[in-house]
Amino acid sequence: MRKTTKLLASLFTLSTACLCVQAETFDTQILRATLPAYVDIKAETDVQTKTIDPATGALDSGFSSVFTIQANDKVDLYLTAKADTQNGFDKAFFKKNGIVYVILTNTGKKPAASAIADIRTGTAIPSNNANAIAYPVTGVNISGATSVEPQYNDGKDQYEFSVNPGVTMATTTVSPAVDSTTYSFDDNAGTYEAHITLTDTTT
Amino acid sequence: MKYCFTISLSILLIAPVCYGAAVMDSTLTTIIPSAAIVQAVSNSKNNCVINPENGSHTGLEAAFNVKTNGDDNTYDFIISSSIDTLAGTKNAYVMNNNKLYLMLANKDRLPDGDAVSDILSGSLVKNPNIIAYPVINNSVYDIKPVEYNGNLSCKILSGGQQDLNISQFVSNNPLANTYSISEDTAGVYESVIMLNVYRKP
Repeated sequence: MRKTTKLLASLFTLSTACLCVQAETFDTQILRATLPAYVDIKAETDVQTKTIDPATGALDSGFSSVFTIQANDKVDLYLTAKADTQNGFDKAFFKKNGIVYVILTNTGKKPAASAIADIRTGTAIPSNNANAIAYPVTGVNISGATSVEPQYNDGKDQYEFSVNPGVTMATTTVSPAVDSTTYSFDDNAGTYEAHITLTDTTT
Repeated sequence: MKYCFTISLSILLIAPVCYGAAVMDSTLTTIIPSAAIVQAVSNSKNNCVINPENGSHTGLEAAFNVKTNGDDNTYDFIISSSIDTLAGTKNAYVMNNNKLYLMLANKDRLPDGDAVSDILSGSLVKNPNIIAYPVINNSVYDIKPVEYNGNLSCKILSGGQQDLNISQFVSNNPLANTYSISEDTAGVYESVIMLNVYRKP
């Protein structure tokens, strides 16, 4: 390849030179700069705040989590969710009857890890998951330099997709309708949170 | 025998007389024509890495050594440059706001001709897979951007030196609007620098 490049460059120069004067002698040097693969991910909104109707557990409106991805190469991406418990952060995405849910936990009164475990069984009992509430994820949509559409990985409880070089927007929407098996008056008043993370590394 | 000796002696005595009578002079003349030789000097700055966050690189430099036998006025010392594109090989030098820049092109995903035209236009908008950097003369000699054979080139004013170390340094930060994370794809970016010695017509 290097020889080909030098040959082409030589021919380019000589072809122009023959119009007037001819190079008596020359030498070439190739300057080479390597641009590594890189992806830049930005959350369009750091914190989204909604209000839960204490009577029903429903949100006043659904969440819409937007990430902007700038990539200079094809890259695989992973969308994960985590929620805090008394035993530390736990995975917040889970799938039940073909629908993916995200669990939000009370930041002031953290739920026991068993509350998350109860919800993830798919046959939750509200009294067993105090201070943790689940809402259905209606979709993860990507637009722009799309390569592979998001797929949910049941084994890792994460969304996976690929993007091409360019700019891509990834939007995760969460329905305001609560999973009724996860909400009750056992859920104390306070702020409930889930952290959504988009990354190019996976576990 | 006596006659032979006499004859031989007579010839020896006569010969110098003949030589002195017809002197023939011979001059040997040779011309050493003007000559020059160019050699690229490989160095650690032939290769570098681009920071993908902002397009800056760790340092690029082209270096050459030129030797002449003294008749520098016979020659033009010209540096030219080229990149590969989908539209063929193009000149890699470009002027922007009266400053010289060098374009590097992605070898793995060749830029199209429009990307080159965009940078040449001076009002840069979209030029995927080309990044331009300022060129700085690191030599003790003047190196001037000139039009040579219809191409933007650099002319070295040697000042009569017979042993020239020529160095063109490519500055670290890209020309504004020539680097974009999302448009300049990962890969190897290259430019070929050529130092030509042209015999003046």
